[in-house]
Amino acid sequence: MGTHAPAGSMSPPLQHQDPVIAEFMERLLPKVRQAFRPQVVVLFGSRVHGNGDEWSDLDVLVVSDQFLGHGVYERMWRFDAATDRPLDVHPLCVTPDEFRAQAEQPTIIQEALRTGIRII
Amino acid sequence: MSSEETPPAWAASVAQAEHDVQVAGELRGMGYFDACLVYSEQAAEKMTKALWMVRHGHAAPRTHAVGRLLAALEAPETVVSAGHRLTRRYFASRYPAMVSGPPCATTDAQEADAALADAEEVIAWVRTLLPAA
Repeated sequence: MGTHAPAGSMSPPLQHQDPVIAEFMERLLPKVRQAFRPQVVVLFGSRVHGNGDEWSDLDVLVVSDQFLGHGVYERMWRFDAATDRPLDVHPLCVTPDEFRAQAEQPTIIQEALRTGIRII
Repeated sequence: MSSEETPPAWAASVAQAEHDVQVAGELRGMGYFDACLVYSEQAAEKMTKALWMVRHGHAAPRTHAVGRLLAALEAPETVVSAGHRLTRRYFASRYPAMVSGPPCATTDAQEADAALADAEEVIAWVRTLLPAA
């Protein structure tokens, strides 16, 4: 299992034995960086906690102003287009303003920040 | 009912899938676009899991990842993509992050129509591979 750090602060480089997380870090994160220039990326959910199974998705919070003006569904299609449609990654795509507002409330974004691993 | 008369479990899953896609169409017609997304995914998921039962002789994994199930069943890429989109919409509509409003306010007819089309594509592919009930 890799190095964990609270999502509220930047974690060290993530070396993870979970194959989906490893795949995300090695192959997909560069695509996410290039497509969305994200201000924040947080990995969260059961795979991060080591209690997922082979059918568990990797939950990924992506904060980018590239999502401004796009609805919730269009953001997912843009994510899939940029990352070759990963079947085992579940993105949550939000704008910086949405991120700031939702982080202060009892939302999935707050939960991601509280329990996940911030990689950007 | 004797064991000979008990319909196979996969047939019940198919019957429910066919019901669910009908419900999805009704919900779309009534303007409940977000609910249409949920039922469209459920229809495809149950149909796919029926095929899994036929192929493997046991229940499918407890997952909503229709695209992954279809990929494991060696479905064509277009069918896998349809299942994947259904799962994307399902999570956005059933487990909303509420980042840009509730799904009942952010889901439109175009998304509902796309979900119905994806569900029908998955159902059509699976149907060709199922034995006669």
